[in-house]
Amino acid sequence: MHRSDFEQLYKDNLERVYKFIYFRVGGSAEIAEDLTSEVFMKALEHRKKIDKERYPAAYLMAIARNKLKNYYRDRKVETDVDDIAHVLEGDDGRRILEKVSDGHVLLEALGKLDKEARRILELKHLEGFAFKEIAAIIGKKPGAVRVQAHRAMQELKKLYE
Amino acid sequence: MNKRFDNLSTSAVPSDAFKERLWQRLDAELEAAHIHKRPWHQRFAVPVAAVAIVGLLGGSGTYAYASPNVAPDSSLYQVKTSIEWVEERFHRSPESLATFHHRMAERRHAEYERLDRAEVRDEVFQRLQHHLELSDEQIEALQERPEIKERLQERSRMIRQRHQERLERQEQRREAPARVPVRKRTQR
Repeated sequence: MHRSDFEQLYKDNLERVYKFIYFRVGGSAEIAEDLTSEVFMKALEHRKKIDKERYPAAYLMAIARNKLKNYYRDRKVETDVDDIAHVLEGDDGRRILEKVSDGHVLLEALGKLDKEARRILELKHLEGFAFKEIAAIIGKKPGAVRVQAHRAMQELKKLYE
Repeated sequence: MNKRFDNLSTSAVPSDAFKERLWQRLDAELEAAHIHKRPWHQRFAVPVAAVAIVGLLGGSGTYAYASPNVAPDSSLYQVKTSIEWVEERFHRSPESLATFHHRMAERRHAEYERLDRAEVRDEVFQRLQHHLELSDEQIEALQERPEIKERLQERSRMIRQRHQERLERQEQRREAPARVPVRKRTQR
């Protein structure tokens, strides 16, 4: 992988990886920055492998997931990465939900969806992935993901109201 | 609903300082990996070319390349500059090129030190300035590597300062009254 290709990969995915982590570490920018750095250092190490991937973003998200797992394992917290989404408190004691006006209602509603539906909506609307990429990340066909996203959004609207 | 997602998404954006810092770190790692993993023919190109040229030219080539006494008024100066020209072709990165031009500027300074004729000195001085300018251009290209940029700028400053001191000494000597050589009285 050439420098310019890696730079493009970095530019395209930095915010996605950061957001994925940020919402799972209690909204701590410091921890999110540390873990995001680790994800990209790991990606750099495995750049030859990433070169062969059709959707390099999916590979990056898999690294990010592992980094989060290790982070919680080191802190002796037994958890599923998907379960910890949006519920942990930040270092300042505030829940991240409180930092965004009206955000807590949305996140609480998201939390009531099943894991996969919630993840699809996060990937689409928070991390900004295309359906093809989401399909690669969660291992489904793009058509199925599109249908599932539509249904999840309808359900979320009901829960939100 | 999309707007609410957007609000939430924009609340978790990494800072520009972090983005820049992380890219610098990654870029430095990439650069190090690139240098380390260059194909063998690139890694050994400079020494092989140098040996080949010196071999072709024999002892005079070695002398021309290495000696500060070979200046523009020497018939071997063309050989010296040709070897340097070939050497320059093998430097690719801005850091490597800047270092190369620093080295060349120092060589011109050494030649300058040994020269007497003013017109030849002027030519060497022009060449020295040219190398420093080329080096500055390469240093400017190192925007994303502040620590390396700073180190190279410091070296440029030192070379300029050393040459400036040399010029000042020369000026002082010119202004000082000429000393009449004292003839030793021979003992009977």
